[in-house]
Amino acid sequence: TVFGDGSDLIGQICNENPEKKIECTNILRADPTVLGAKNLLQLSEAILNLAVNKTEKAEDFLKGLANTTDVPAIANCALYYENAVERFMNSLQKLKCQDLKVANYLAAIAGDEPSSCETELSAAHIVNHAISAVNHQTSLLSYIAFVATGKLS
Amino acid sequence: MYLPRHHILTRLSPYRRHFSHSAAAVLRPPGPEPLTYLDGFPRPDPKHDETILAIPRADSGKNISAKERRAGRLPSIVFEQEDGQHGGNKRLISVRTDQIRKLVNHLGRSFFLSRLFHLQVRAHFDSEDDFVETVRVLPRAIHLKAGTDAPLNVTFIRAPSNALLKVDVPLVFRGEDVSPGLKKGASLNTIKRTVKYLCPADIIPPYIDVDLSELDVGQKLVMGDLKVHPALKLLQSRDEAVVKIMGQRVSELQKKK
Repeated sequence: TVFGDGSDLIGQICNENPEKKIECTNILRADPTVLGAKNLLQLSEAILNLAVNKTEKAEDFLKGLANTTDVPAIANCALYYENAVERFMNSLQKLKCQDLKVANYLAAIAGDEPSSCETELSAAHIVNHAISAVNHQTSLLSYIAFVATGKLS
Repeated sequence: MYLPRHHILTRLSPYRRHFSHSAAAVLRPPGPEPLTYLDGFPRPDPKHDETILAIPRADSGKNISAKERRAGRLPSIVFEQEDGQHGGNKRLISVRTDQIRKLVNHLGRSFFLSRLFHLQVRAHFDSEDDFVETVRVLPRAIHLKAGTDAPLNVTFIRAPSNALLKVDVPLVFRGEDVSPGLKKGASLNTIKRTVKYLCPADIIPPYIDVDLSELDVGQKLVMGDLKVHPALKLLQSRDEAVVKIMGQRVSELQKKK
């Protein structure tokens, strides 16, 4: 089975939105734990772990940038990402406790943080493609986690 | 699985409140002052301030919705900001039917739809300490059952401070008792009861005062005449009439002669 063709677990998630399908498939296929998932529960856990890891890296990146640039909007973005990490982690914790609805909700609202970051940058007339890229990725991960955990409810 | 973060057990404690206070520490860059309600304009009545309680719910569907309603809950969705440029996911929640019914009854439908509320999402309705988040929302739509006006579902939109929201603001007409036209026996023709504005989330007016005290027979007020905060942007034609003082019909005049 070719992953992402719709007949496998990744396909079940990524086919929900054709506009996101390619990006969704690519980011999931790149993670060996995701590829090794044997059911939707394992897949959801793997996706949330992936989201935590990538968002932590984004947080570290933003904190470093905030330290070197002294720009309030970027400092705020780092704070938003701290929230995003916490929400993904809490979602994972709830998933393990089988509180599926809360896990799903937390995965959804994690996407607010990159959205708020992007809005903050726009308001400050800051164009930073690297930050926008991590915002886009984090929003994508939130969506993917939201869809995946939603299938468990 | 290994999560590379210190104090992970503390962070993942099931008893930890899930509302993060980090967002409250967001720095505000120097710039324009935050928008506030201006003196002389209507502002929300604090006596109707209320936190709407919610719980996450499973995916949508007729069966799930019916089950929710039987349990005294309304299926609901919280949508992301309307621009949609920055993504964000909709949230699936349930709210208490009796709370929404009470709010709509007290406020009126139009006033309910033009007011911000704090939405507190909990794991369960009775779990006061274990709430997932508190978010400010604007009701977007509410569907009432024909005949009974019982609420069937309600949707919200997230309303952070930086949001610009399209709002149908209700009109409140005043001064009928001193209107020269109405004193002459003319009639009030209410053409519009709400007007659509693009509103910064922090200054959504609960209603707009429409002063009729100087209107004479044949005169009208148009949307461009309405007095609102200058930060609001009218989304309809300025020349569209909202109210008019109609003269008596010829037949009625003839009857009086």
